[in-house]
Amino acid sequence: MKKGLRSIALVLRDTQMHLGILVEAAFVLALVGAGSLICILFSLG
Amino acid sequence: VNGSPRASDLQLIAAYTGKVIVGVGLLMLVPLATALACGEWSSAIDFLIGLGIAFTTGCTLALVGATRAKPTWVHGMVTAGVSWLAVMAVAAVPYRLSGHYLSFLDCAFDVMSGFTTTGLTLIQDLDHVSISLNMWRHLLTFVGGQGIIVLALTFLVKDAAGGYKLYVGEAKDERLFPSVFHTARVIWKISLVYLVVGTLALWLAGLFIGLTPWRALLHGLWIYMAAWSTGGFAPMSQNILYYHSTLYEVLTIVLFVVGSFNFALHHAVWSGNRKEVYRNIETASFAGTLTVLTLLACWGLMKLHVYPDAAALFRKGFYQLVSAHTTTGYMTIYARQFALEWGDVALFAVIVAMLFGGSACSTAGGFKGLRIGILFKALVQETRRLLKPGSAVFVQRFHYLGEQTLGEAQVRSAALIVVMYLVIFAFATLVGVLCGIPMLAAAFESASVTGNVGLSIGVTSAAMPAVLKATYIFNMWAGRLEFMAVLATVGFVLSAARRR
Repeated sequence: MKKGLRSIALVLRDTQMHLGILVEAAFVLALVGAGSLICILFSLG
Repeated sequence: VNGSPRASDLQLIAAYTGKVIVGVGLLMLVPLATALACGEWSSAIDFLIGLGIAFTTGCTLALVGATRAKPTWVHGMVTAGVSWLAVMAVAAVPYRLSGHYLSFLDCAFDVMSGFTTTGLTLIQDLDHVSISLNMWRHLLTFVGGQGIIVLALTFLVKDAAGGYKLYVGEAKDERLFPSVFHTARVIWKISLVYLVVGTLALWLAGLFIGLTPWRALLHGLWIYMAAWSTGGFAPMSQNILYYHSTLYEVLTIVLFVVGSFNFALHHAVWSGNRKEVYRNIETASFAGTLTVLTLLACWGLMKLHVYPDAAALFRKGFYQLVSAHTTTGYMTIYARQFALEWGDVALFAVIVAMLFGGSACSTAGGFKGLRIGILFKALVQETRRLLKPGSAVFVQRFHYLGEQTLGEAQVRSAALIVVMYLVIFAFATLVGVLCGIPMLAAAFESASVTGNVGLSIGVTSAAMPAVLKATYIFNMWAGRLEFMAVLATVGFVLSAARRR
């Protein structure tokens, strides 16, 4: 139980992991942005 | 295994398969607890029976097969192949008992679809399925994304050398750490961290669109499980269309694209190597093919005036295409709209996207971005060689968790697997056509099962012929295990039969 709580606390304090998640999400949102741009350009004709 | 299989070979395979079945039996504790907590007594009995069968079968096999012999590569491959078939039968028991399926073959189809993260379903009356059965459906696809062998390695297998051979048999040859057990735990850590983040985000989105807190939580959890594992299951028959929410759609896109990334890439980015996310050959290949196929699909859709504006084109056209390319199978349109509205060009783009798939060593299926990237680099290298004098030496490099030099063995291996995918894709298309399905629809559905995608053009239903269901089960299994384990299993069974 104590070991489990300690590993959860380690995960919560892992700054590299938090930044990693943000970077991955930003990359995907950039792809989504590019996709929406293509959709706008095509709809404009 | 030298020559014909011996009793000791069967013992080893039985022992490891037994452990994997026990692992899947342990998983049934989750829907069982859900059924008890929600007062779904009938479902609780279904899961108790399933649990009993799983433990009895698994423990018997583990005891009968108990041996001190060390597994070889062939044992690992055959065990991976056999385990997937064995757990398909065991995990189908609660499905059959639920009364939501017309036959055991339909149950086996749904389990294989879940475990391989395909997402096609033959369930009846999905909108009125119990909470615990929905939990089981989504849990199967979540665990299948990580791999059932990875699950067994985390809890039940203690032999490191044998464990690694099983791990490779399940088409995950990426070792994040020297220890395969440490690798399995890191894969689970990444998935569980995203489980918290993804479920929370979808829960808030669910509240925002008007779901009750409890329903928003359950839907958030299930949609996360199926999005992250690029599975495509959903608790409602209308799939993601049910939510009618751009927010929900964008969140699911983020989750399934991130889920389609290589676990080694997640590990590198989470360890501080953040540039890897755009330098990696797989993400670069994914971005490139997604852009080209989006242009093609949008052109095809706009030529036929299928969608009136950019918002509809994004929410219907782009969503379906990303869902196909990541091999997720989430849909914001009805299946028949593909056949009736989309036209040949857009359908061609979706079929190609489904075959290309996501990243290697991820939850996704298809050829994989790594192989597309390697074959593209090999093509560039060959073209340069043709254009330069014969004595010139070319070294082609690519970035994949560090700079790598393109080798002949990598190109051969990538080409071989792509060819194998195309062979089974053609095979399932042919079976579909022989069953009376139009060519384009048969190819679409075949690409969907071969790439473990889950998008449907309307072919997959409980009414389709049994031979087509069995073919699709085979393609899902072979596509997920990337052929080596399947070929080893078929070879092992044939040599055992010849010995008799």
